[in-house]
Amino acid sequence: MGSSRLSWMKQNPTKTLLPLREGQSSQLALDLDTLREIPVGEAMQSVFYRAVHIPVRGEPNPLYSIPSSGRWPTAWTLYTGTSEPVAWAEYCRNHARDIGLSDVTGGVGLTRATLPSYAHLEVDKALPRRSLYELRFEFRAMADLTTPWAEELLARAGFNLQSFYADRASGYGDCPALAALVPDLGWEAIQVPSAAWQRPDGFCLPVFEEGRGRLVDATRSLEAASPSVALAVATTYPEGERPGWLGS
Amino acid sequence: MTPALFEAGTWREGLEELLWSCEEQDRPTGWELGYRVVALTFYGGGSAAADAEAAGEPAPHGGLAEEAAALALDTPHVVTPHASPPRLSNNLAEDVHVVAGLTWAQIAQVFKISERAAAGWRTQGVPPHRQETMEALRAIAVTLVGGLGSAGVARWLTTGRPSRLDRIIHGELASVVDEAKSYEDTPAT
Repeated sequence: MGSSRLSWMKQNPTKTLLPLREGQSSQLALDLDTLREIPVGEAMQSVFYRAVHIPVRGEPNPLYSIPSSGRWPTAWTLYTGTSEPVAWAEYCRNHARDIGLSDVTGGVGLTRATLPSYAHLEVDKALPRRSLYELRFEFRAMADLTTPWAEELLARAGFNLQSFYADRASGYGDCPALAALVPDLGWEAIQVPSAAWQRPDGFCLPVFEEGRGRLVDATRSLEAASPSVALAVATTYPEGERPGWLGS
Repeated sequence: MTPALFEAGTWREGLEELLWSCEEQDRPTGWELGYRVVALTFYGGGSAAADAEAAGEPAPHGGLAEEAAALALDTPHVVTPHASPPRLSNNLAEDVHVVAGLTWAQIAQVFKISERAAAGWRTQGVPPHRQETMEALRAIAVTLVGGLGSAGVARWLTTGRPSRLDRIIHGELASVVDEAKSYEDTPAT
């Protein structure tokens, strides 16, 4: 993702990605006509990953979503990741405090020398285990917002690309404003960078109400599991929330 | 330096004079020969953090996080045996004690009463003016026990400074309940 944004910068040397500060978004209406130019089509990938709450009784519900929550709030947004590490990293980022309370080093903290010894342990002291689901969708109208062309159109429409990584404290930048336009745009789902797993394979796939009917299969691939220490260390946390024992 | 270093079609005789290591002094810069460097590509020496900073992007984690990412691809999760959570008894005091894993002393601490008085609620019932807090504690336990087990719920409530139990004692019951409920979903944030 970083490389495509860099390519956009090289093609648009006069434009600048300004970091968002707390409480800051563009506060400008996004240009709907320009957003409509973003290509929409069938998804290249069909299997997505989601860490799901384990209830006290019965089976987990992989389609449960708290309304108007997260970076892309709508009445129903189902957050999935394009890979398993993304799904776990989003879970860790969501609950940085409980990762902090799950120190497996006994207060010593991780270092480069000790990481290999701890990497394969679980983070579970204060972090509830999750079921892992593989959800198969067959989207007809998915917008991939990670392509250089989509990024350029987003920028032209007034969307600050830094919003993809903005923290909760900054109101997630322009992401909620774009999510509010999803019904007008007819998007079933969008592929976006993951703020929690900021690597070339780190994409989130929020699914919207229009895409709900595109679910063709939901498989519970793990009944109960925790993210590994390695995963927790590799996760990007909101500014100032990275647990100290994970090292830097 | 050899023509092999140049991309196909860019090599010209005499360019070898322009290539030297940084340790060699008093070599021509190119101006003397009428050449000017218009493009330069470095292979393998880029800094992702520097590139990101120049583009105004969040700098990727270096060092430990990147090493961990490589390990996490092999082991993103650890499977744990899923123990059956305790059944709810419909006895409020008993449920908070068993499902939340709190001792009678810890329950008593929330209300600043004696351990014996708290334990007595099991048979005498929870007084009406304590029920709201006790029901909230049970709700927290019910939300989390599937993933943490009773002992884990107790840890979730009692670890940290201040612990969540401390915060409940100091009037932050609603925000602690919200924290527990936030575990029902996994939004991207």
